[in-house]
Amino acid sequence: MVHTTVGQPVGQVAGPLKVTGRATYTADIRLPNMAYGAVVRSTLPHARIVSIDTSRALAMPGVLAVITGKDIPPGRVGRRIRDLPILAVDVVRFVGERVAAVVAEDQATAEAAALAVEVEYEELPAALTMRDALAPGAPILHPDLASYDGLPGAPPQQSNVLSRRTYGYGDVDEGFRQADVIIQRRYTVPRQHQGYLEPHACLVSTAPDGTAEVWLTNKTPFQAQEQAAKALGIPKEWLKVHVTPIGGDFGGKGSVMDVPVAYHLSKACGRPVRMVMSYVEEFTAAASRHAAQITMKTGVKRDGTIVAHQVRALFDSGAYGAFKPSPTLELMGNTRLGGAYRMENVAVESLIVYTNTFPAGHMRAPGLPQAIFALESQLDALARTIEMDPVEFRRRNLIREGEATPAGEQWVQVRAIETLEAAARAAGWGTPLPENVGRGVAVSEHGAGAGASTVQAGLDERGFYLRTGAPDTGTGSHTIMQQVAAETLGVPHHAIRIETSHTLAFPFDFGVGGSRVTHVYGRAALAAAASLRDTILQRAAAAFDLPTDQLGWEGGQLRRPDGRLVDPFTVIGPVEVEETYDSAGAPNVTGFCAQVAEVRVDPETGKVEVLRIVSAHDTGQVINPIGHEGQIAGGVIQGLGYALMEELPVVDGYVATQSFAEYKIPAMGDIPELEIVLLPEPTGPGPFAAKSIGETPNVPTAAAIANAVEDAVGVRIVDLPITAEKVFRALQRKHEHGHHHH
Amino acid sequence: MSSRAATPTPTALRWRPRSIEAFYRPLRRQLDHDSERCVQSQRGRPRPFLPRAVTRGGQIGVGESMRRFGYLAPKSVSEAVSVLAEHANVAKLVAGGTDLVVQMKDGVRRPQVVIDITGIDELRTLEERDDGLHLGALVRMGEIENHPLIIEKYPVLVDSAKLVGSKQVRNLATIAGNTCNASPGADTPPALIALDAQVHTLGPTGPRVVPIDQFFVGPGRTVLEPGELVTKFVVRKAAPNEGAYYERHTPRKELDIAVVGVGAWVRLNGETIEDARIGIAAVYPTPLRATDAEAALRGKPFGQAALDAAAAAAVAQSRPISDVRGSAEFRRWLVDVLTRRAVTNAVARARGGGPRAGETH
Repeated sequence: MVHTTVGQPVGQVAGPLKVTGRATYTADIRLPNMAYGAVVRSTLPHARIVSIDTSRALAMPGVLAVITGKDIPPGRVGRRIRDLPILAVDVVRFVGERVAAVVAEDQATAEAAALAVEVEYEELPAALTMRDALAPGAPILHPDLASYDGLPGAPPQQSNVLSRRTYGYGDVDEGFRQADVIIQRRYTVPRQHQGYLEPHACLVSTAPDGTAEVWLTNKTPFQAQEQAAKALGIPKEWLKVHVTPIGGDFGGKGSVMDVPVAYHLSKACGRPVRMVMSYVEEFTAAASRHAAQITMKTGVKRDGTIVAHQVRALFDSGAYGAFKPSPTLELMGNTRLGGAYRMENVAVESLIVYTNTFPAGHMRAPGLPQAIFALESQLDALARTIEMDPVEFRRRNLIREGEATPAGEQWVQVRAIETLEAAARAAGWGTPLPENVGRGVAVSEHGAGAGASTVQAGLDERGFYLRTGAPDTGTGSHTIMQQVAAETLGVPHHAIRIETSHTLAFPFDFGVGGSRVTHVYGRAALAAAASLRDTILQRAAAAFDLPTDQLGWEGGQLRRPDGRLVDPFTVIGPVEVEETYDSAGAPNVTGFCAQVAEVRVDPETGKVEVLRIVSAHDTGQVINPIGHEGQIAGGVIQGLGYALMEELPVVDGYVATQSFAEYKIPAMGDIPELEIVLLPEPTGPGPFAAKSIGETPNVPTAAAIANAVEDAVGVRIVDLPITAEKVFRALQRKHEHGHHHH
Repeated sequence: MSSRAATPTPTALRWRPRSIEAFYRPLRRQLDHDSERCVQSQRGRPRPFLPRAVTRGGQIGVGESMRRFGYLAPKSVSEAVSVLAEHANVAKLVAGGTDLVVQMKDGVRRPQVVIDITGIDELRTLEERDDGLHLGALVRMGEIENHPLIIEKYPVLVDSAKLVGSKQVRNLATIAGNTCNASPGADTPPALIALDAQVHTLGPTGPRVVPIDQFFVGPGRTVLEPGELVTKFVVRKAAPNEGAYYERHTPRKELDIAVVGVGAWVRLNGETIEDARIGIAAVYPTPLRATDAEAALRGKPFGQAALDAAAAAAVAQSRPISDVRGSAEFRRWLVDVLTRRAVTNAVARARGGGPRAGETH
């Protein structure tokens, strides 16, 4: 199909506003009489609050109010399970937990007053690691877990396990008996912060009747409205939540963060209250990717057949589960612990574990980089052990059409092997490399997200428009909707303006997440645009007293039987339609990604330099090539950071990396040559057969790099990030081992 | 609800007034975490890295707002000395601001007065004279890395300047700033040590000249007296049989602080290393001059034996600590590896070859 706007590299709707600094982010909003909030946070990982003395803070000039957990109605926050108190009452469970809050005339006074609040604690034994938390006799973080709202399934026993899931089939013990080679390894992956430029911010303006207007940095404003209302114990209709521009999300902006606190501060002082998290707070108390320990035991035959795969995965929830939205509280990556490979016997167990560290949340493909790093490292090691080429090993074992994954997922139009081969071809797989340079491959996939969403389309005196309840988190989702509608209406993309609606004037909107935007909002925009065109044609035909088929539609205008083009607004005036797209019944497809990394390892220092990455995608129709390429490049860079440098180590309960100076994400010089290979086949469920791209390219990168390191210098790193020191130590052990045998 | 606002409904205060014990860990305020690490090491009791924010009154996440401060912009060095002397204990000099402004925003430094010296043109000297290369205090990293004379004759300065911060930082950061900030991990001091730079200063009692290896006292501290400022650095004229090189190890390629950095200078006489100087970053409370390693090279033929001896001596003189960025053991290993590389490449440059300026490993 030939498209005019779809597939064109058009710029983002909000691009000019953003690059000229005119986009109004939440922190940019100023309301008359606005006051400023700051949070007092716990300095101990697990403690009983003995007393809180707010008198010094209250006495400071410019301080309007100070609140503690006992000053407000009890309320807990959560996207699913509500286990996180708005402000701690009696107990704190991690360093950085909200203990009290201050509102003042200006930010500096609020911060100074927060420092003046004195909290007396009685320290309790803390479980800082999952090992501590699962040990017999461990301190139980949530003795009242069974009473929490939103807990799925049966109340668990007294333990620090928040959720447990098992799946599998066959008999792994029998499988291991048939295996020629068995490898068992434990993979460890750290917490990763989303690294967005814009920290969490909110502005809450309460009225005396308890209703409030809310601006916040959130990708799911309608869900935020519900979360905040439940935590505050008020009807959600009391909260008018605005859709704001988002300065980067990467999965991290799904929680209400300071909104309930700001609501109470606003009530306390009778003024609008603005709260912006510092980056210390972001790194210490936001919603970073879960750390995990994944133990895999896998048996293969010499011909590469995977006869048994046994997994125990532990994901570190931190002190609360509040930032996990899934009804089962599990991470999607749980279902990828066997990937998309044919395995004869499978037994997977995964646990989400409470520890006295900051709560983990969602980040770009939740659970997947953890699972795929472990799995693709494990499979690579197996291939090398049976002396089979790693690409060939995967080619033999990737599922084909008609087969299900170890977790039981089944797709149509499975293009795993084609994607793998495309990456291998582009990377020159098998061609010789210099000394200390190696190649590694890894495969993953992510389907297009599902659900229902509504889009309104209309025509007014200013022209065509679309209205949505979803923010553009920076990915270009509004531009996608614009292009899809423009294609349908036969107008240039810029002839359609994009409007957003707050939560009181629009049907419930699920919001951004799970790679659903292009699919669901794209299809809703498509349907709304088609419905708008048809409605205009019908009304205009009635106005002209013509049969509908006598009116043509050209470039957004009406063509009358005499050949004249007429502006529809002059004929029928304003018109607006609303369409809801529900993905139920859409074909179940996924998008594969295969990456090949080429690295050079400094054999003396262990430093890994990534020279080149090839990223191949089974991607469907690309709606906007700029946005699509940006998602892949950004994802690969985020994956590279995860592989080589990003981590939030917790020392004595404190996050040791509290700024972007210490929490390292790749800088320009670290970014390697990137070659993108697309297999554009119109197989997606989205508009014009689009698939998703956002949560695919960041997933296999770490494994591809780890596999390349082994290819380069013969050492296998099983714990991320792959620092020079880890490689250096592994090389030392290898040399000692070598000398031992000589 | 405890509140002093006029509008809200009055609610009883429910905090319990008791005696408040200091609940936070007793931590000294630190200049920056690098300094802190080295101070710990000096005290001989390494402990886990503690985040900077926690030291700020024992609370987390607040204190991001800068305080108000006075601003002075003298137009001559003598005027700068007099205003600096007048506000000696409450003022900080600012040039590029790439360290100071960040420290002020973090609340690590809270000067009451900031003295901006960027309007003093006499501090911008960059020329080779009979006695050597004169680098004014305000010469920026970006100027060094792009200056044809420095690229040709003093490439070690390019090696080190090019590693500082990012391009944007290097367009602001000055050579005196990178030195006077006195971070043990800074990149230009080892290169300046290797080149035996002389630090020229002016203070209320007049000018003086301090050899760079005697300039640093501790983390964030130098020999500068109250009211004294650095005017320039003078490096002896490069000779054809001399060469110098700097290389560091960092987790990422830019916007990073050396885990270890080594600068080396040699003067050859045929195959013999007639003289050598070695400066090392991030393994000691100050930038370290590795005198024992220099002695191990002096008068020896360049070769494996000399490298082994120099590397061992450099390691022995280092006092690295363990932290999240690297263990002491790994740092010692890096001193070994990087000392060998720095000396080898310095020798290669002395022979007319070696890596091009700024092309470090």
